[in-house]
Amino acid sequence: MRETVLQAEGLCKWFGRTQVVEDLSLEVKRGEIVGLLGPNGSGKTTSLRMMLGLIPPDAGRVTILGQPPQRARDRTGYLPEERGLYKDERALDMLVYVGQLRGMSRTEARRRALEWMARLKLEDHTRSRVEKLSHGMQQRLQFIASVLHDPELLILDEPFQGLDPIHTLLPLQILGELRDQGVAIVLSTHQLDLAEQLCDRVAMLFQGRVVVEGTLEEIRQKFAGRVVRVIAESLPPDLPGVQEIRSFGREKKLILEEQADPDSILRALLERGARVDLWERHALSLYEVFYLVASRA
Amino acid sequence: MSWAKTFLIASHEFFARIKSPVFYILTLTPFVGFMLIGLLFGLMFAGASENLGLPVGLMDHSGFLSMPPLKEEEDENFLIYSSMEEAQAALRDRRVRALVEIPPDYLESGQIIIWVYGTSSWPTMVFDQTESFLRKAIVQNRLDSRIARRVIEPIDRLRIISADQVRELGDSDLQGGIFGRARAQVQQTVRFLIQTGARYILVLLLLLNVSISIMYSYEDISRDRANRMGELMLSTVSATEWFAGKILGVVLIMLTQTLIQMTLVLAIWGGISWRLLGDLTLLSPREVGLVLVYYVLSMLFYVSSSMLAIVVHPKVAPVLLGILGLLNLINATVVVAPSSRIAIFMSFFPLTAPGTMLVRVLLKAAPWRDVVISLGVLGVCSMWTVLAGSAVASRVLIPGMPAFSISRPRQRR
Repeated sequence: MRETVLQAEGLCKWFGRTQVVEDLSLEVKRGEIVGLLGPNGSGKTTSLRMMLGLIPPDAGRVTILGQPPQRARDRTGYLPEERGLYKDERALDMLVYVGQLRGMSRTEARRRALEWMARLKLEDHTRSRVEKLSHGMQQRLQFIASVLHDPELLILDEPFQGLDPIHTLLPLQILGELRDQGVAIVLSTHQLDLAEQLCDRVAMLFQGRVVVEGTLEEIRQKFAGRVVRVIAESLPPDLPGVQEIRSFGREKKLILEEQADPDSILRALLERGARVDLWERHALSLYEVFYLVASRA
Repeated sequence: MSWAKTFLIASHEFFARIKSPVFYILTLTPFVGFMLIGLLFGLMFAGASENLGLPVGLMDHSGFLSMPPLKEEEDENFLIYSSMEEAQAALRDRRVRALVEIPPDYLESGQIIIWVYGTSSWPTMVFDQTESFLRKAIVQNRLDSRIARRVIEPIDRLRIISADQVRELGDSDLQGGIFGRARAQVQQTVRFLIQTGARYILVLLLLLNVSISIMYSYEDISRDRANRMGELMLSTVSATEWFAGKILGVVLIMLTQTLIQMTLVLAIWGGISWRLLGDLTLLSPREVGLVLVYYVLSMLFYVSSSMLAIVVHPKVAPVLLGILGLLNLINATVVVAPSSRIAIFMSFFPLTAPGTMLVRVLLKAAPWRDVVISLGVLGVCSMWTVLAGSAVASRVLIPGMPAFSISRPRQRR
C-alpha cells in the first residue's frame, strides 16, 4: 500500500459572492500523477493554492505527509502558473537562492542546480541573466526551481503552458521519471491530451466542482458507448436518444443521451431509410469526456 | 519561524540592492545636497555664529558709559572691558563673539568699530544690538545735549574689522598669507557645522533616509509583484519569514547608506583638519544608541506601512506613499521647538513617534520619561508590522487575489 502524500478533504473557497471551489477532495499517493483538469476559471489554481497553504480554505482541510502544508514546504515543489523569477539575476544564482530557501546548503544547491541545468540543456546559460533567456529557457529554469530540492510532492500549475511540442517532451519524460522515483505529482492543465499521456488519475473541475474523477480507464468505461462514429447519408437531426450530432465532414459523431441504446438508434436510423456506411462505438478521448460533462453541467 | 531563511532573504535583498547604481545615487545625492546647504550656511555664519551664545565685548574710549548718571550701563549681552588689550584677548580666545570699540570722539562723530571674525552678515546683528544698547544708555542721560543728539542716530559711522584684519590680534589660524586665511575660514566653517549645524543636518539626512527607505521597500515589493516571485516565495517560506527578511534587508541597506554618508562626512572633515575631529563631541554613546533605535524603528514603521500601501490598490499606493513620506518629513518641524507640547504629543503618536523622538534625541531634548513612553507606544504598535506582513503576503504576492476582499464561507450550492 503506497503512502498518501497529499490529502485534501472538502475544500471550499469563496471570493466575495462567488464560490470558486466547492467541496473538493483529493488524495495523491507516492509515485502517482493526478491531473486537475478543467477550463479557465474552473478553480484549478485556487485548489492548488489551498493545497499548498498559500490561501486558506473557507472549509475543509489539507495535509501533506500528515502535516499542515505550511510545515511541509521544504518537502514540496511548486511551479506556479504565473511564472516568476528575478529577471536581473543570473540563472545559476537564482536557482541557488531558491534551493537555499528550500533548506539546501549553498554548495548542495549549486551542485544540484548545475546537474539540472545540464539535464535541461541550460548548461551554457549558467551565467546568463534571466531576462536574456528565451521564454522556453525561462520555463525550464522555473521547472528546475520546483524540483531542485528533491520534493516528495510536486504541484505544477499548467506546466506545459507556452512550451512548444519539442520542449514539452523533456518535462514529460522527467515527470514520468520522478513518478517512478516515488514523487507524488499533482498538475493542473487544460491541455487534455498531455494529461491523457501523463496522468494516472484525473479530476475534472467545472465551475468549482469536481464533475468527474477516477483513473483514465474508469472514466472511459463510464462514458463508453456514449459516442458513436457514423458515416451515413441523410442523417435525420431528431433521432431519439441522440443528444447532439457533431459533424467532421462526412464523418459524424453522435453523442448519445445517458442510458440510450446505440443498437436501437441504429435500428431507428435504418427504418427511416438512411444509408449507413459506418457505425462504430467510439473510445472517448478526455476532450470528449470533458465536453460531455461540461455540456451536461 | 526560521531565522536562517529570514536572514537569507535579507542578505539577498541587501546584495541585490547594493549592486544597483540607484543605491549609490540615493546615498550620495542627499549627502552632497545637505553638505552643500551646510557649507553655504557655514560660510555665511563662519567665524561668528559659532559663538552665538557669547556676549559682545565693549571697549569705551570715550568715557561715555561712565558719565553720571549713566555710569556703566549693564546689559547681559555686553561685557564692558577697561583695556583694549584685555578686550582683544577676549575676542581672540572666543570669550566674546564680537568686540565693539567706542572711540574717544564717539559723541561727536557717532562712529563705532566692530571687531568680528568672518565677513558674513553677522556684524549687522552686532550693530543692531549695539545701537539698541547705546540708545537705551543715551535715553537715561538726556540732560547732556551732546548725548541727546545721539538718541536719533546712535551710530553715524561704522567701521567693521573683519577676519582679514583680525590677524592683527595675533590669531595663529589667520597667519600665513591668503591661503592660510582661506584655510582658517574653511576650518571655522566646518567647526560651525560640527558644533551648531551638524545636528540639524543629521536630522534632515536621517529623515530623508527614512523616506528613501519607503521608496526602497515599495520598489522591492513592486518588483516581487511584477516578477511574479511572490507566489514562488510563499510556497517556499512563510509570510512572516518573507516579510521580516524584506524589512531587514531594507533596514540593512539603509544603515549601510547612512554609514557611507557618515564616513564621507568624517573623511571630508578629517581631510580639512584632523584637529576638527576632536570637536565631534556631537552625541554621547547613550544618544547614539537611542538615535539608532529610533532610526531603525522609523524605518520598520514606514517600511511596513509602505508595503501595506500597495495592498490597497497599486494605483492608489503612490499617493499613500506620498502621504507617508510627508508624515515622516513633518517630524523635521520639531527642530523649531523640540520640547513643545506638540513635539511631546508627536512623540507618543504612533505615526510620528519614531521620527519625532529621533529629532528630539539629536537635539538633546528627549527626557527619559518621553523615551520610555514612546518606546512603549511603539512596542504596542509593532503589531502593525505583523498585520502589514500578513496582509501583504495574502493579498499582494498571489496574482489574482482581490485586494481587501474578505473571503467568507457561504451556504453551499
